[in-house]
Amino acid sequence: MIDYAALVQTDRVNSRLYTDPTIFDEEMQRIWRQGWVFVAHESELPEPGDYVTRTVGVDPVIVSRGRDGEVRVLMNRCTHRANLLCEMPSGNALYMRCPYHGWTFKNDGALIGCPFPGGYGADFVKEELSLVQATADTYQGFVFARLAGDGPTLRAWLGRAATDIFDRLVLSSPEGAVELNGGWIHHRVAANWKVVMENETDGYHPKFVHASVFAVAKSNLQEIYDERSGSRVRDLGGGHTELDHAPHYRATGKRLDWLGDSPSLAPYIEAMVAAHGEEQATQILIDGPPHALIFPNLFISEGFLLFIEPVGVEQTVQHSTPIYFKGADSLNHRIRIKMQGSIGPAGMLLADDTEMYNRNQVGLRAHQPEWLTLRRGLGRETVEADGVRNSNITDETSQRGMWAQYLEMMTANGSNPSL
Amino acid sequence: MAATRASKGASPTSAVADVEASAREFVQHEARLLDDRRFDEWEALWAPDGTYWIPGERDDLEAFALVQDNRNRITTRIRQMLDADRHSQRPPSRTARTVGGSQATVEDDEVLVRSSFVLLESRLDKLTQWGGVYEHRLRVLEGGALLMRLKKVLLVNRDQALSTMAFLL
Repeated sequence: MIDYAALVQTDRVNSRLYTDPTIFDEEMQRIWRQGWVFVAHESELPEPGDYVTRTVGVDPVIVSRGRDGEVRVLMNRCTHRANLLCEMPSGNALYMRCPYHGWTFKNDGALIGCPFPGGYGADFVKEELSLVQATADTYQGFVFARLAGDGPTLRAWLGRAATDIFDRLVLSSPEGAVELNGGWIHHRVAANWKVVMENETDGYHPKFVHASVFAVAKSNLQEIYDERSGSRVRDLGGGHTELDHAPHYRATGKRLDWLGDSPSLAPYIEAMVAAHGEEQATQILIDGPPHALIFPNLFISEGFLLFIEPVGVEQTVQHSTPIYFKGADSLNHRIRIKMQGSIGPAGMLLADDTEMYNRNQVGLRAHQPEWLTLRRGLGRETVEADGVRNSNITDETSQRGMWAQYLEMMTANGSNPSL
Repeated sequence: MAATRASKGASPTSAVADVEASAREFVQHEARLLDDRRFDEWEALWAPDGTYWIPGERDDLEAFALVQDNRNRITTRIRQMLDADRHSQRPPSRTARTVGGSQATVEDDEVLVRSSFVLLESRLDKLTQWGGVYEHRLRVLEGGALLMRLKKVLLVNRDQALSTMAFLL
């Protein structure tokens, strides 16, 4: 039995957490199956029958919209002999027929029938052979699933992240909604999934990892991620953490500094003023959208999002797409142009982050020192009224928050991970 | 030789054939410059309104792309690639590409060349294979010189999880 409390300490974590295949398997059960995990956004499934196939942890799932309009998350596995039911990344189908022996299901999971039913006895109950359905719920259009067990509602799981991240995100749309319809790109990482997760709200690395961008292009990242920046790291609880740049932007007072203002954005600004009023619109345009990690797999980064798929103990995939704000075509165009320069396998930013992940995993092979140090900022954190930890942008408050949640999930229900 | 050229020049059909042949040659030369890391010469091949484009899942100019650089961003990308802090290119990728099956078609003052390519990339302890279709849209200048207005790289595995590609395809 693995003693997680010994491996995860407040100011340090053990190398084994990133390299041990047994730990990876236990994480799949305790975190990726028993916690809420982001799977899709409702805008990817606008019509009844629309579906996308995704992987939650290592489990293949189908996210589909039923004839009744409800979004369901079904295990992508025929209940007969376990064949993968749906092989396409996305499409529209109200019915799904298994290619192996022709068992046919409705897209709400119900088994409709199988060929030559006479071969089964009277005790063959179709209702017992529906596709296995996960618990699913949505918040601001983001679809989350819990594959196994009971636990808090999605709203309770998100906690402060519901308001501070998701509600704040949609404010940047004049219609109060975001859409993920720009197309996905997929980027392979030769590292453990937690190496990727920990970096998403790491405010310490950009000045070094992204120095080549500052050398060749104008970028505000250098000031934002300076120890003297007004930006703050916040641990919202539940493993959800953010790098809040609003204090920095408020100090400059510049609108749209998060993306770079441009005359082409005039229609967007106009729509925002019409929707929110001059004063609130100005505030939203200054603050910008959030930059946050929703534990364990969803990274919302102002104009794009990325979700983490753990493939194996040293293999991970990053799936990324631009965030489009409903009713904001001029903004969305600029987001696409900017983000496709920055993210993905050729991205001017993400290629170097990913290089760090890969090197991190190689470094972990050195058997000494046994520990990774996470003590930055421990002596200067402040606690907001509601328990949110707040610290200097370069502090490791975010990683400590993720590990606290990790430890809680890995030790919940004692030693029996199947509970 | 000079006599042949003169007689070709007299016929519009053979003038088109000449442009197409030099366009196919251009594509081979362009590949060679990248493999040889002669980036100044490569950059000089671009038209001022050039676009370097590697589509993602959707082969659509408006969809989210792996790369879609205008002329300014091409310069930025080259400069970043050569910067000592471009970690994903330290050490740099070593590449060798084979470009074949080029078909050229003249369209007004441009010539479109469609080719297949296979590219081997070696970096650190890894050999990565890349492949797909190159589409070069070349502008034909007065006097026959060619400039790249579009280089489109349609990877066969553009919908899969890709390794980092911080070099120029």
